[in-house]
Amino acid sequence: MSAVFFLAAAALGAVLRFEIEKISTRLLGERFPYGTLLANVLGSFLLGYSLSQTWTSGIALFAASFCGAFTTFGGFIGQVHHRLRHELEQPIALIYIVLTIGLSFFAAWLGLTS
Amino acid sequence: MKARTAVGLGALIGASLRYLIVNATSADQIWTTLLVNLAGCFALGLVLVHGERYLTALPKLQPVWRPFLATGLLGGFTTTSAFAVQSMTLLQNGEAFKFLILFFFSVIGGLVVFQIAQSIAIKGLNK
Repeated sequence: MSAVFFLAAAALGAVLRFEIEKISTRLLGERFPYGTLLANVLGSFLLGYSLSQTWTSGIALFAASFCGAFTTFGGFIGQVHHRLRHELEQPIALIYIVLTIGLSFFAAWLGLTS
Repeated sequence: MKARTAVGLGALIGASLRYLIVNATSADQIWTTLLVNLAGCFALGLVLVHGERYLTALPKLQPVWRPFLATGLLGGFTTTSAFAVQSMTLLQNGEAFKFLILFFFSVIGGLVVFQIAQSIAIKGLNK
C-alpha cells in the first residue's frame, strides 16, 4: 500500500511541476524559469512543514515523495548551465541561482519551524 | 503518448531509483541526497545532448523523450526540497562546516558534473 502511495505522489509531483513550467512559459516566456523556481520553493516549504508536523506515516510518506519529485535539482542545474553559456544571459543565471537557493532554503526553514 | 503521461511514467522510475539509493545505505541522508543530485546532473548532461541528436529525429519520440527522460525521470530523481531541508537542519544544529561542504558540492559540483557530462557526450557525437 505504501508503495502505491509513494509512486502516486511522485507521478503527481512531477506532472504538476511540468504543468506549472508550461503555464509559466506561456505567460512569462522562456527567459527566466519561473515555473521551476516556484516548484522548488513550494516543495521545499512543504517538505519542511511535513517534517515539523505529527502526520500519520502514510501522509508523511506521500508528502515526502510528492516533494521529492515536485522539486528538481537536475532541472535547476541544467537551466543555470544553459544560461551561463550565453554571455548576455549570465546575469540571469546568477539571479536564478541566488533566488532558487535563497528562497528554497528560506521556505524549508519556514516549514521546519512552523 | 501525451507529454504529461511521459512525465508521470518517468517520475515513477526516477523517484523509485532515488528511494532505492537513499535506503540502500545507512549513511547520513545528506550525502545520499548529494550523490543522487550529482548523478542526476551528470545523467541529464548526457541525456540532453544525445536526446537532441538521436531522439528528436524520431517523429514518435520527438514530443515525448524530453518530458520522459529530463522532466520526469531525472527531474523526479533529483530533488531540491531534501537538499534545502537538510541544509537548514545542519544550520539549526550548528553544523556550519557540513553545511558549506554540502552547499559547495551541490551547486558548484552540479554545474561542473553537468558540464563534464555534456563535453563527454559531445565528444562521443563527433567520433
